[in-house]
Amino acid sequence: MSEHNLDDDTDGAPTFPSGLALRRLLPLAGGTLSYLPIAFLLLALLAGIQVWLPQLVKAAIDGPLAGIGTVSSAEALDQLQALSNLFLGLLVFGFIVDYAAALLLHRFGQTLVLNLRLALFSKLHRLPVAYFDKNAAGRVVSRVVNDSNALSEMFSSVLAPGLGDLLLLTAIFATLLTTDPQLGLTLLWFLPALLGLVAWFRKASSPLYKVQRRLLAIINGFLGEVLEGLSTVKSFGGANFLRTRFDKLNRECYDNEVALIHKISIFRPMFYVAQTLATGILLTLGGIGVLQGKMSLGTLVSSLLYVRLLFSPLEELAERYNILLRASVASGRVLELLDLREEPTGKTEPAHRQTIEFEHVSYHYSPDKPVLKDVSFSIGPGETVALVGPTGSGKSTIISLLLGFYQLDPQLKHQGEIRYAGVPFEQLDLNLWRRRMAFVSQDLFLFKASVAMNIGLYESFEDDRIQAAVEGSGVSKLLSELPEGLSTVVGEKGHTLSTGQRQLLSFARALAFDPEFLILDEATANIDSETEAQLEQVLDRLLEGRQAVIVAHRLATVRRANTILVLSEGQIVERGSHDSLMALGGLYSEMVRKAESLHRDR
Amino acid sequence: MKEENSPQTSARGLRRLLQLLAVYRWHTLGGLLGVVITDLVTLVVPWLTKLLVDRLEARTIQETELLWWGAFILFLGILSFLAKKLWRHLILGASKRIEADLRRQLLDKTMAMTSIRARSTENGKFLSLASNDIPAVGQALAFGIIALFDAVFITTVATGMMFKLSVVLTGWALLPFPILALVMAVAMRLIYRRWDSAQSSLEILTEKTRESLAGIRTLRSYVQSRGDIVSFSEKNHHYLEQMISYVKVDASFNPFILLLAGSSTAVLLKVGGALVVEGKLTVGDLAAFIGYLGLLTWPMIAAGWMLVLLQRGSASIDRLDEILTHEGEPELELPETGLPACLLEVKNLTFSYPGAAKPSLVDWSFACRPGQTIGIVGPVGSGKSTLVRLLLALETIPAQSVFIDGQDLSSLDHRTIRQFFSPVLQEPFLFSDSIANNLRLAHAQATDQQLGEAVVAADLAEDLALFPKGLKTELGERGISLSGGQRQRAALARAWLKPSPILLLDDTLSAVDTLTEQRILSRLRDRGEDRRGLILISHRLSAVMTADEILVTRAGKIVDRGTHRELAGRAGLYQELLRRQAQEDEESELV
Repeated sequence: MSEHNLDDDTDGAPTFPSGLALRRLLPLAGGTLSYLPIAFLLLALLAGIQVWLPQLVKAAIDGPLAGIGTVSSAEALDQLQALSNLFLGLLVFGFIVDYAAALLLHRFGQTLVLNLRLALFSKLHRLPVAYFDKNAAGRVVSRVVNDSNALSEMFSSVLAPGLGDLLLLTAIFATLLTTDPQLGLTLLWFLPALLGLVAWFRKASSPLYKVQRRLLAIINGFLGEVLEGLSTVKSFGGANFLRTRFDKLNRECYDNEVALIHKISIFRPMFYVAQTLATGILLTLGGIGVLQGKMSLGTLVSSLLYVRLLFSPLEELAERYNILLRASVASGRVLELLDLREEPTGKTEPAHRQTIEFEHVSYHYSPDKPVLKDVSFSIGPGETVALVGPTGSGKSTIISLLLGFYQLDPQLKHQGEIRYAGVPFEQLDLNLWRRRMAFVSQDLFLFKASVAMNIGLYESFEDDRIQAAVEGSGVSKLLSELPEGLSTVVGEKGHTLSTGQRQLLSFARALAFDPEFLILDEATANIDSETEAQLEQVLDRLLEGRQAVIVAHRLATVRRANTILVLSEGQIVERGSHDSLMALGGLYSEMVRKAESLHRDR
Repeated sequence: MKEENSPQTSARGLRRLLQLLAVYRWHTLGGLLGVVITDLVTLVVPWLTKLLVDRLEARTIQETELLWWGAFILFLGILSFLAKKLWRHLILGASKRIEADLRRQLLDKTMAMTSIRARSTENGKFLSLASNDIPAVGQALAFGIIALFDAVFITTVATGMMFKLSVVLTGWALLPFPILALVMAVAMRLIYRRWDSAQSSLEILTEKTRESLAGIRTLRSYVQSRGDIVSFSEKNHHYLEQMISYVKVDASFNPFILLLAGSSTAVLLKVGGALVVEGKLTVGDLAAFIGYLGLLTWPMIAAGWMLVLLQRGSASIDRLDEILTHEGEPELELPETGLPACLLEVKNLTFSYPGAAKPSLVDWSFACRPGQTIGIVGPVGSGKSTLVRLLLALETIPAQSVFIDGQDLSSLDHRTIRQFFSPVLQEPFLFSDSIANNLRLAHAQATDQQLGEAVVAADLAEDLALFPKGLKTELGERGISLSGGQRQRAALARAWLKPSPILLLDDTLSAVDTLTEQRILSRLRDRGEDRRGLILISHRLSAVMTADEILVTRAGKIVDRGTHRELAGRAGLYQELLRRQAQEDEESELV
């Protein structure tokens, strides 16, 4: 709910989605685009009916009712009956037209955003993965869901009904102006006055609304945190401290509400004043017209009905304007997302079980902060390379480059080349390349789905294959503890798993996908010794006959590697086997010594 | 936006709403007066219309008099403007005040909740109390009650006026209105029900998108985009269907009102016209009728809406009352100077969780003198965390088991017990607020110097230096997120700040690297002047080795005790733990 208003900063936004934006969005409606002109026609028809109805009242007053005495009463009654029937008929017709137009418009709007959401979501799957490092998930979700909804709202409840209202207003004023130009012109003045009022209200209230949303979000977040951290609050006796802070926010919020009420209590009642004033003017000017014989009584009464019709569209203008603004901002953001550069991919099918080479690779996110400096190494078939080094030394960047999440871009002055079987990475078909490998991350992301789905993802693996992976990874013991085995739902609000169990599960996934090439980011968090031993076993199985890059945290794992690369500040400072590095007496041996001495202490 | 399918207006809920309003009774009465004035003005206009039309028809009125009437109508408009402004100010103001009051009460009652209750309160539901139910109560008060009064008043008077003009015609003209009201009431429910299912379908879609984004690296590295897009597309279509089904009802709403309200005018033309022809009614009467019918349309439409508002409001206040009427427990307030050092004694403590088959703690005895450090080690399930919960009075302390300076803690109330202990839990909770405010939670009046000392004690100073705003750095959603180790150290600083005689560290430094851990522990050891007792619970032996006494625990029992030297020297669990950790050398972490 609050997410809807997460970032609807409409300051300085164009008030209307540009023609270009509309031209790009409208085709998304597909076949329902043809509903649009039909709906407009229906709305025009409806405006006609609405203007016609008071004319029937006028006809009655000026016809059978005015001529009492001159026409026979039977004839008058007949005429009244006919008028009443026509009135009712028009009403029913109007109802059908109105409802049909609304349905068509909604169907059109909803279909458009249905396709828009799909286009946006698919786009997310084609963007470079680096995009998600820089953009908070909440905002991206809001692009896909809320922004597209804002657009649907614009089509279904602003543009079309607004056009309908515009037609109605025009028709009313046209009628008023033709029957009595003086009266019509006088009432015409209300239009700019009320538009001014709407503009004033919008300007005066929108910053207040913005503050309101912000404060309420903070206050509600505050309350949620107090519940979540209640033990903390209690054990520290922080209640009074929190209360003081809360009261300040709550007061601020209330003061803002009062300021808002000031504006609201002028805006709405002003419309009423305008309507009363218009009625007064009508009765006076119209009355004088009647006295002077320039206007019929029927015209006067029907004009009163027109005045009633006049105000409701204007009253809704403020809200519609807001929707329009939101939609305009939304359409800008949505198109921006759709226009983002997609992940580049080559077309060459990667060979099988060949050497990967990094040659003088330098990489950075911003030019002043190099992440990798002149990194060269190679991983031959069946080889395991361990990456060792402190946080921020460039280990995970190497992994992202291998996965194609990051790519070397000469335009950004990235240097060097990464090759597989001699083919530069840019020329490889990325999807095929990724199919060759399995990425086991430090903390497996659990989808809220069954264990089976978390292992096999969307692949339709045979049950046997999943079963084999489960057994091979030692997950079977874990499964026996789960209430519904493989079908147990895990993930958020589902069954929770420990870090060790998660890593086992991610090993199971890797086994199921049976990759040629394994990328493993080893888990660091506390894992009990039993699970630990299990992990070691499975790791042996996983590494067998596969190429692998491991971000290693444990000595045991590091020793397994054919080559250890010691990274520091983006550079490979040492490389070699465990023994040769220990003999070297450099950074690696120091790290090992330090780790071992800590354990001797214990 | 979850709502029961057909919320029943509970009498209790309605009574509660009125009670809330009664607090601001003068606002309410003033507001109602404003409504009455507004309505009377509104009701006069059609009557004036009748008067003028009749006299115009009979030509018994002069132009100057017409101008006076025009001025009078303008005056009425201004009067009504003022009355409307008045009631909006009073009623909306009161409802916002009530919303603010409710939020504050919610905070108070939340802070007074027992921890058992807090644990059983779902976060999502609780948040919905604040973000949906409180505004729903405000809406019911601001519009539900006033609009209901408005609708009833205007309907009664307008109908009365119409009766005065012509009983027969009123009967005919009002014919469509009960149908309108009935249809509205039914349609409203249908609309809300369908809206709710559309909303929950949207929630599913949102959640799907969120999840895919969170797992995008997995999905992309395993080339699962196609499957994921198909899964999204299914939910996308489902939402479309729900929306269309909602729109089908919702879009019929306005056209239907036009139809039914308009049909009254059709009846008027035929029946009323006939009465005019028969000379029983004037054209002015007819015009007035049209005016009154126009006034009646709004209350009929609003009736359904108001009922829904009241239903929602009363259901909401019922939900809120589940928490607001709860007694809770008193809050802790520390004496500003803090408490002097004291002696903690645990004697033959045995404890089982309510309903548990086996006791979690069996016959625990130990003492912690001022300035002493007690270490507690043992595998998972040894009862360490239960001890912490007991000492923090988050569970009920058994009688004659825990004593502070000889006084039985079970005879003291929660807040007194909690004064004695300052805890750091393994997964500490920090608020989305500045670091300073997070620390001050433990000691609101702490001086900057005290804050500084706590920061140094917890080895957080270097980290703070890296943050742009130091102690004023905001955490959480609107600020930065700390690493696990930083969180634990910030929590340690907070605990350090609380002027309690005993520090309670429950596996506090599990996410802190070993070197930093040693640095912090040595600072804690050499706390010098500070005569605070220290209870260190850890799964790493290195954390407790220098304690004055180490308790070795397993399966709820203390199986061995002594200093590191003593324990390391004899066969037992401690030795076994030592050996196992030596083995784990293999798995030692390089960084």
